[in-house]
Amino acid sequence: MFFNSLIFLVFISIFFLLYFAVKGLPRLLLCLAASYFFYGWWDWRFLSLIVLSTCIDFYVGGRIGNTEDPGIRKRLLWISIIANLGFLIFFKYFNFFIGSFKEMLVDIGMHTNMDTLNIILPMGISFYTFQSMSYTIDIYRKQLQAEKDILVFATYISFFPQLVAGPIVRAIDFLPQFTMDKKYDSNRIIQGLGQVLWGFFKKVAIADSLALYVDLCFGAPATYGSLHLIIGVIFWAFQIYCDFSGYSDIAIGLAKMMGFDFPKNFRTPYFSKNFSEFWERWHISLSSWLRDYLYIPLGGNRNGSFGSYFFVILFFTITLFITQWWWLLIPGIIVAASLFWYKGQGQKQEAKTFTYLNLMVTMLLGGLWHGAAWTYLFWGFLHGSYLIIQRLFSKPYNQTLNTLKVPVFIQNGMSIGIVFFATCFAWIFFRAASFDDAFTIIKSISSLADFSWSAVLHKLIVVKCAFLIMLLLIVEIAIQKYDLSDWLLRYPIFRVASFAMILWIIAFFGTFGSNAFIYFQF
Amino acid sequence: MSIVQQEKIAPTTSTSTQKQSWLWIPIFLLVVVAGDRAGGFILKQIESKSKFRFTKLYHEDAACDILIAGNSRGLSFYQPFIEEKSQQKVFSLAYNGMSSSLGLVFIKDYYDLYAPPKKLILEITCADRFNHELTPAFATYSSYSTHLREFLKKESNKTYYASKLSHLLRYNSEVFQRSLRYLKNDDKLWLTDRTISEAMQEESKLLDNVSIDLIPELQISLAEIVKLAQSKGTEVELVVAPFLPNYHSALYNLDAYIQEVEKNTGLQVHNYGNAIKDSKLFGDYFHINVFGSEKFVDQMHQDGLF
Repeated sequence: MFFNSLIFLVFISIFFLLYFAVKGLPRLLLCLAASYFFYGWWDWRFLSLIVLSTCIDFYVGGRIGNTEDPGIRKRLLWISIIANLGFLIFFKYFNFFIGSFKEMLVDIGMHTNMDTLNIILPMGISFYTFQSMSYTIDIYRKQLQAEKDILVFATYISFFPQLVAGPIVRAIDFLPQFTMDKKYDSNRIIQGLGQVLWGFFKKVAIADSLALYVDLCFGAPATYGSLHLIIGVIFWAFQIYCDFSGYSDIAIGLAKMMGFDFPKNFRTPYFSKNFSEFWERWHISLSSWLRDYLYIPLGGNRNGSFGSYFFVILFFTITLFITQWWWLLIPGIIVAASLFWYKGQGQKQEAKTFTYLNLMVTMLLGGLWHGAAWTYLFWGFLHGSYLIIQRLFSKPYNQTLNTLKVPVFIQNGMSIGIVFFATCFAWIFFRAASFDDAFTIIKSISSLADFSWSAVLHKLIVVKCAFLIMLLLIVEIAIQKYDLSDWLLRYPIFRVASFAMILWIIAFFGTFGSNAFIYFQF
Repeated sequence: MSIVQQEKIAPTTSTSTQKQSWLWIPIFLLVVVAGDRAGGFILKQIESKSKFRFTKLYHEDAACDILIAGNSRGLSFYQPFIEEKSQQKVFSLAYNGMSSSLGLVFIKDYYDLYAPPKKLILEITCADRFNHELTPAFATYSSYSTHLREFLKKESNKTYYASKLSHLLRYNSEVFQRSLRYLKNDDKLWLTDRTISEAMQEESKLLDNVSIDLIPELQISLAEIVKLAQSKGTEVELVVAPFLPNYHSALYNLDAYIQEVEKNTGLQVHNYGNAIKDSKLFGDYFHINVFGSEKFVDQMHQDGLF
């Protein structure tokens, strides 16, 4: 069931009528039943996977919470991690690895009867798996007490507003909210409704309109000129932002109406002045999850662990054998030699080395989290590289600008421009169907062939989308800088005007047809 | 931690405030509907000022001697060139992706509103595909035409009812955006001046076994257009506009398609599919550019089509 479908409108209307009519246990049961119904509407068979995951983590979490024996706690934690990652790897990555391995064997002249399986990717598996894992890990770390009520836990895992595309809400933030009695609160309803409407504006009016142009660009990149493709790449950057942050806004808004507070998932990421800031503003729930459950356990910016080296060597070896890009050995050896050299330069340099390594591993896994394709992995590699380059060069870069006495607003503008440009470059690989397509786009853009307005097709869509992007940026800046949303929601006259305005804009600019949200596939 | 075991009371607003807080909802709904209707009215006024072909059609500004119809390939019948050669008044109802079934709607409207033209030139490849995305875009003109409303109801039921609910929605379409584009300029000059890119030309060499679809329903609509025009005393010319030579070579069933059209309509088709050999006269595989059109129109004139 998509948020932007008629059936969801019916579903949510009935749900809210019942939600505020009951409380206590019936309300909890209603939430759980509605969540399972919402997910089962897509494919009821995969409900069993959610139920299984719920049962395993509820049991394991309870057992970890009930014992102080470090050995048993660790073993139980591994059961949870292996079970969750096992589901994820099987459904999401099995065919990818088998397929890549088969290609490699064929390339070296060996033939195999290994077959890929006809596996359907369960919607939202990456989201609820990570959510579920955070529960057992937090209990293991003694940051959270095990939940005693399986209904509460099952509702937490399957909570429909954020089940299929996040935000990834951690048990430590979410479970305590179940203890609150959530009476009808008009202020929360208004705030939530405002956020839901804003989310629909982003999805239906902007993301889906941009999709019309972006799909054509990335569908047959060889047929378009450079300006057409540049516009296509920029539009894609905004499409994915509006699609995903639109979903998050709807999810957070619905939860707010129900009485739950979810953390923000996006904070105008394209205004970031460096790449670390970008990751503090983009898909915050995933980046903070990766930071807390992967980057820091690997050693973070302090030291390294066996894990950092293990993952790097594993990635490198798999990439080398599958792609057979043997030339990668040369930069590989150079990087390894530099690491050893750095390691010998004292504790400070050693810590830096591990920081770079840990950053790269985290970003590579972050890339792979999005999907089973080499292009996603490369996207992660690019972002890992950006973060490393930033750490290496930000100091001399800032010093140079200060020496040249470049005004601060120009410095900020340049930084935002660089981050946006580099992010767009990485987005090409994220969206392209293959490396060939991505390189075709990059080659065409860099050649500047057909760099003219007359060579741009679908000019009407371009003008419409450019207008909508401008509108989005103006409103988001106003909301962030002047706390506009609070002011708009407080006074009925402004509230009515702003809500009505959003509906009119959606009616006039929206692209309808229940297009799925991009992040459903992850 | 259970919801049943321990319940804390979250801060809420008082009952009187709750009651007051409901008041804005009916006002909001009223504002939404009023604004929608007002917006729809204003946009209709703006649309009516356009010099776009469909606005002209419904505002009695489309009377002509030669009527043109078809999809984007029908745009190759460049109006200024035909007017210059024929010294007659030309009006085009061709539109990107227009199928023969949708074209039939506008041709019916044309005959309802105007005296029959002397000639109808119809580009026949408009019967090769349905374009379900285009039909809703014409909701912009639904208030003017019963034929169009019926067609919308049949082909795009959701749009039909949604555009009754919201008048703003009627103007959420590429057709309306195009009408805005022609607020000042006449759309007679609507034809690309772009030349096909080197990359596309290279890619066209790899084309093989390309087909044109034979869709019975659309063939019937095409035949209905011919029948309607003939019944009103209009002479009909069926034409295949030029394809890029490499594309034309790869198109294996064009002759069968033409035979089917000839069988259904009883008319001979003028096949210019391979009439233009110079790639530079094309914008892409299917469309000649304005320079190509000059040559094409000249050829049609020499052949006595108008």
